[in-house]
Amino acid sequence: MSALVAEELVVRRGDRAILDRVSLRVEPGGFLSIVGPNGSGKSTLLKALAGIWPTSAGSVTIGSKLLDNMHRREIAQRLAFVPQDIRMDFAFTVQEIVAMGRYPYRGRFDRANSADRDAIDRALERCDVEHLRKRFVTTLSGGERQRVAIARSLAGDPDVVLLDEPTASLDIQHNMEILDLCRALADAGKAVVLATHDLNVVARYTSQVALVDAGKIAYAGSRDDVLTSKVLKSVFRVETELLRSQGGHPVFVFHRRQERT
Amino acid sequence: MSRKLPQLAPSLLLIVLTGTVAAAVGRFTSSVDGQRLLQWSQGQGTSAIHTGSPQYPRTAIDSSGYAVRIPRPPRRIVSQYWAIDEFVYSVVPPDRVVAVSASAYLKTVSNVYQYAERFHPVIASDPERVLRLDPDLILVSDTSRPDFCAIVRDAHIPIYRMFTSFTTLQQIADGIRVTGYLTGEDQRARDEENKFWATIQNANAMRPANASPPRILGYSGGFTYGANTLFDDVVRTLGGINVGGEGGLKGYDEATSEQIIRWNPEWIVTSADAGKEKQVLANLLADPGIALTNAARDRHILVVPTNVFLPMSPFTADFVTLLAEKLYG
Amino acid sequence: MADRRMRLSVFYTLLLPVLAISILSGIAIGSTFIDWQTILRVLGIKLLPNGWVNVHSAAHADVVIVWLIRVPRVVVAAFVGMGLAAAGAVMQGMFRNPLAEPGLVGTGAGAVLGAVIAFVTGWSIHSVITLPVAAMIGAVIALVLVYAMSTRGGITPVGTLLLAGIAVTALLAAVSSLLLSLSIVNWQVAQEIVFWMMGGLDARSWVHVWLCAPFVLLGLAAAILQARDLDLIQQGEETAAAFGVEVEGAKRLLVITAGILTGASVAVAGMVGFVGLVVPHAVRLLIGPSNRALIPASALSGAAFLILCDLVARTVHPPVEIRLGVVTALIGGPLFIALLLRRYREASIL
Repeated sequence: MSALVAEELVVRRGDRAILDRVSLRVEPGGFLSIVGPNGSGKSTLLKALAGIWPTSAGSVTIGSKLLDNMHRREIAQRLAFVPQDIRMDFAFTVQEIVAMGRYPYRGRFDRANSADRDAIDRALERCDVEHLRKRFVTTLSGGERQRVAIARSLAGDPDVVLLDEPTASLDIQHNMEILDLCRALADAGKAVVLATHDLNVVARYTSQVALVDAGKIAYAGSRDDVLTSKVLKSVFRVETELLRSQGGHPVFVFHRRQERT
Repeated sequence: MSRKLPQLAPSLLLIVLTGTVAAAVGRFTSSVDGQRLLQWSQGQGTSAIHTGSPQYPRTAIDSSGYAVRIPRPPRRIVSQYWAIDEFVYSVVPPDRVVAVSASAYLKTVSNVYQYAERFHPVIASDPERVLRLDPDLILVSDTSRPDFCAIVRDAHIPIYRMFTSFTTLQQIADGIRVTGYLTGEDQRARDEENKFWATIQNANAMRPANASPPRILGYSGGFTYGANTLFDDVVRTLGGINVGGEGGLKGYDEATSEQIIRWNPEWIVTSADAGKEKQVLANLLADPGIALTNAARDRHILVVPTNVFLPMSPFTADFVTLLAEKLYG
Repeated sequence: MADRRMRLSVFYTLLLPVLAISILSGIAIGSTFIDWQTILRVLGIKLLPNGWVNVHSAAHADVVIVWLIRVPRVVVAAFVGMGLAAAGAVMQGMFRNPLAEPGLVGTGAGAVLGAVIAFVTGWSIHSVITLPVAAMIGAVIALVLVYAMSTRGGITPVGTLLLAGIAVTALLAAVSSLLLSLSIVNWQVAQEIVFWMMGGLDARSWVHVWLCAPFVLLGLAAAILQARDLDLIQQGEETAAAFGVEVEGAKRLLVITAGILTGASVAVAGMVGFVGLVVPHAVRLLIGPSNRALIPASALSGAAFLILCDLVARTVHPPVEIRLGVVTALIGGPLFIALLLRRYREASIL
């Protein structure tokens, strides 16, 4: 298992820096959340970490290999990226979709070998979509599709899993399923990175947090260090009430500021 | 590695390029040089007759430059073009013509209608039906598409692309001679050619010695005949002035009411299907440009039957005669 | 319905006989009916080594008609159908829309403009190849322009590609109309242009086969090679990149592939619509969206479809041939509407 390390990442668009010298580190077994206001660069950071967004400066390494020196297929074997926008407009079966996750390992016309089949089966089981194997993805619910997408990413046996707003359009039940799954992946030794809006999710599931604001890492560290009322107030410009759940997790309640800055 | 392609440049380039090409092509095809190039590319060249010796197998070079080889006097002749129908029937015994264009069966348009009616040749529009006739000579016009020619050549059947875009009476006479050579009816063709010129001489003879040249407009649905047209040659042969040509037009081109008023022809010649003459005349006089001409004033508007008006075949001699009778008779 | 997918073996068991019958009917039926024994004899004379079949066992006219007119026509129809259907499948994958069609890349309009220029200048008169070659050159130029316009920094956003294709198509179509209107004085040329534009396979010969077949086969091979990349791109470009697809390179190749397939087809047959739209869409409904199966299946289905449409075009109103583009529209149009309605019905059920 490998650590994912970003150093001094810079992403420019025109003369604007969307990411300005961002550095972070995720160890195997770590579960990092990237949070921040809209437009702060969360998604871009995640994509840059995945190697699918071109960077202007800085580096991303996995294990100790630079992404820039790796072929895309090689990257795909080590690192999985689940985008926010899951497009499943065509009636592939779940089996076929998850099988696509083996793309980095197969030649153009290779038939699925036993390693592929095992990986696919494991991924289907882990994401609890084994019973949907023969169904067409166009007939699945949003939550089921999300799990299928994650299964697809897991079929490649990645060391690192990056998820962009995986719970954005899911209901509570499905939300929890996905996050439990992510937690389980981290526990199994993978490095998991989540970009999300939902601070209560972050509070409950993740241990490490990186707070991005205007393209820079404003705060990074453990959950309890970063997610304080003071920090949240300065970055999100909201009054935060911090409560504790029965399980001991912080729960945030937000109030809008009365006076103008 | 990122390649930067300027965003705007290709779009501008495209617009400028297509605009220029379109304008150039448009301008060119309507200019004289353009017409000449069109004519050349359509195989007119000098329209000179490229025939070989009278011995069989005979060779002739057609309007596309192909050397067509005719191994023996043809007995099953196919014409795929309305003007060629008339050349062929003028020169060849009608029972040897096995297929003609559809126009041959149209009484209003054809000068060889009686042959079609009597001998019932097949209509040559369907290539398969033509091939089923086992023809030994196929004649198509220089403006026809090359696809059928390619197929027929692969089948080793003589096919000749004949020049039909006539602009002078001499070219028609040449056409008669070529037809004779191709079909093996050289004597008939010579006789026909002599008859052609004799008819035209007689027509010309009708012109009074001191007559001023009549100003004539050839008119057809908003278009007229400028210089470099058969009509122009006919009118000049008869000692007249083709106002379209005089007015600077080249080839078959639009004639606006304004232009017609300015030219003020003394005679207007147009065509109509049999039975529709009155209607065509009325429509013509309804046009303000035409109504104001001397021709309209003096009732010098000739509505000629369609098949007689400029047949682009040996029958043009009859048109010349008719014209002469009306002008000078 | 969405839950049922036809097995490939069943699909081909149905398709291949249909294809064989359409080929045979296409050769047998025409202004005269030629029975299959004669057809086989002629094919034997022409294809087998000398002497295997007696040269005189078939009438010369039959040999000429079958071998020089009907067989090449059916073969061209097959290749054009294959090209358009495969291009449609590629387009529908690339644009992630089952209702995309080959003309979106602009090559069709480019081919038409090339052909119109060949007609108007008179170059098309002399040789059989001038017209299709001019059309192909037009197709290539249009493709290059569409691609250049929509690519910046090596990235071709699919939305921009679509718009560029539409814009170029509109512009080139306007120029074609302009040239057509300027040449309308020469009625015969204008008539030929209009008829050509409406699509048709009249008087197509072996020359046309040699002109279009290599490009169609090349394009088909390229499309099948990229089938898996296309599957992934259909899941979203970011997803595809995440799984190791070189997305921009793949898109470039896919655009070129679709362009070649469409350009070669339009160059020999004129504008034949709906084949690239309806055939891959219908085949996908039957056997599923996996491109490795879909592309060859669409190609063969497109071949059968176009051969049959051409047969209809020739035989419905003899001796006049209805333009092929008209027939594919009259048959493909209602089929397309039926598919659309099905989609709406399904969407409201789900």
